[in-house]
Amino acid sequence: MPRPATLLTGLVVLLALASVLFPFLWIALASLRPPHLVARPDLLWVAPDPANWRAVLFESDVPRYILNSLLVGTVTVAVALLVGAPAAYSLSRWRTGGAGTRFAILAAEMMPPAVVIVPLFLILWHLQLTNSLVAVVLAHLTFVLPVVTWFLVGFVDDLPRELEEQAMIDGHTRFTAFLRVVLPAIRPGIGAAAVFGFVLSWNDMFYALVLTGGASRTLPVAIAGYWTFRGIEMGKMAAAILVAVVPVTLAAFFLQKHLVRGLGGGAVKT
Amino acid sequence: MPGIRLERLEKRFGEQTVLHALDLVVDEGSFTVLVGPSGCGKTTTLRLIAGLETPTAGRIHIGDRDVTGLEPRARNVAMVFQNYALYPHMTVYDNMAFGLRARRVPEAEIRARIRRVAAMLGLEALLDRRPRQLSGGQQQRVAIGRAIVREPDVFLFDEPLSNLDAELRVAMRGELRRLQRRLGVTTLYVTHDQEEAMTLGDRIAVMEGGRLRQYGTPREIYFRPADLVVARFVGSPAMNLIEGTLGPDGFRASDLELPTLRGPAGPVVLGIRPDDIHPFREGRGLVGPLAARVELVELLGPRAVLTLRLGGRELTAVMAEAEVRDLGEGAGLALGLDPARLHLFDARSGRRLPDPAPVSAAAG
Repeated sequence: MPRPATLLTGLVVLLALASVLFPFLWIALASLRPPHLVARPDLLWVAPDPANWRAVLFESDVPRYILNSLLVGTVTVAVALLVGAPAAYSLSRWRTGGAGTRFAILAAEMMPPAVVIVPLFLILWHLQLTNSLVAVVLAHLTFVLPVVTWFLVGFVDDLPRELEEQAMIDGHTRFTAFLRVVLPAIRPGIGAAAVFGFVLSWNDMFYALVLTGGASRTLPVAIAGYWTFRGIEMGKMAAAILVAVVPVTLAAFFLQKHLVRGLGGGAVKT
Repeated sequence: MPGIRLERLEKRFGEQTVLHALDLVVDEGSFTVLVGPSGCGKTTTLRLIAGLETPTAGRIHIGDRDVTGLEPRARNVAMVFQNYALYPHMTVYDNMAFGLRARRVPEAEIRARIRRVAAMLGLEALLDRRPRQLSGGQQQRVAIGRAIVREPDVFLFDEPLSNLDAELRVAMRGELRRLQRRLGVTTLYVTHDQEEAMTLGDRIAVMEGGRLRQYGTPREIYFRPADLVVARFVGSPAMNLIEGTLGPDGFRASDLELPTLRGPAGPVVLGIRPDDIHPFREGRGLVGPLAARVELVELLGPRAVLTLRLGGRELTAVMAEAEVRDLGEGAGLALGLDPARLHLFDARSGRRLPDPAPVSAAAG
């Protein structure tokens, strides 16, 4: 017989889990119902109908949008790491730009997208880059790059600087020591930052909605597209949502360990 | 094997000067220890030689090469850090091979060298492990092995033993000494532990406040400290220091008179090592007797540390256990000082004065 306190805790956890997971269950069920039965929660059991899935995966442009999202996420993360890792190293080792820099990066990370979007749109429009994936990548970098940099600063902070010094005495330059010792030593951090940055890009709808159209749409924009002027195509939308959710869920699973550490900015030693 | 020569080496961090025009010659093949309290500039000196810091002024020579402007990798030195700085993502083998690969040594030779050094240090079974799978002592060995395998001109050690527990530290100390003898590589070793310095060094450089206070053999440092700083720093328990004046009638302090001491007149500090205070006996040539009271006896086995009260001051003495067996706390004790082992320092400059050999050992 469990103690009442344990029972209560269990109950609270169960409630929390249910409230988080129920929408997923509902979406999953909706994706398997024909259109006229989607809005009928009173019918607990409806024979599964793969029509929505077939429509989304084989008879629509959703696969292309998935590809777009993958491309945007991958390029965004690649650029963010290419710039962010050396930036993090510099910030950690030389407090580049003074004490304000770290704060500025954190602030950039937290800035509401609405602040950035207008100037960004104007710049991209003048550069004739709107309606392109390049525009989305550039927009996503405004928040992925600070996140990745902030994340990696913590990992570099945790790395004793004697490691690079040893490598430099051992025969490397500062730069090759960074490549051969610092980067491999913070590989877990880089992996976590990459996944985290990818998820942020993957989930973004705001920038992508404003900056893209037609063939350059990303998956979240495409999902929103099922909300048409004739009504919401709930079943197809549900199927597309599940497609969008799966990689994020997997990422979260792999990330849980590193996320806390990265967000702690290296303040807490493990 | 080249030695190291530092010429007027100076380092400032902003307003703060951490190293004042240091001149130091480390002999070829010698084991030289830089010792001093934290912040004395010893680690900065080591880092300057390694090329990890840039000197504000002065030159650094390794052998007949002026390495002052060279990058660390061009200096052909090997360094062992206090935290070992083992590359966490590499095996022990790769850690040791890293510096050789950076210098494009052929893999076959790398393998041979690592095998030889691993055998020397008992690391054969650990070559496939990662640093985090090793104990502190094993990590230490790997760090040393990584330095040896490089076959550098100079070894630089920055407090390499201070993260080990006491027993292992003493064992590693002996091993390091033997290794260095065997390899004959010029070694500069930084520590804040004066005992480590005494046991390891052919020569010891005592630093304080960014200045070299004394450079000599362990014997010279211990038996003839050049100034009060060195006298205070070296020796455990610490030297007893008594302020007084020297005049025609000998040494006088508030509650101590040693009429037989001679030297230039003026305010002085008399230094007496705890080992040079004995129970007074006639005919041994001791200065005394001085009437003291025993405050505390701490037995260390064959020897005992005594806290004594002599007038208004406290003295520390180290005596053989047999000599203090019957002494309880509060007991009176007549002290005799070994006149050949007394130290006099100028009270103003802190510098050592000529030996205060008494006019006649039998007097007093």
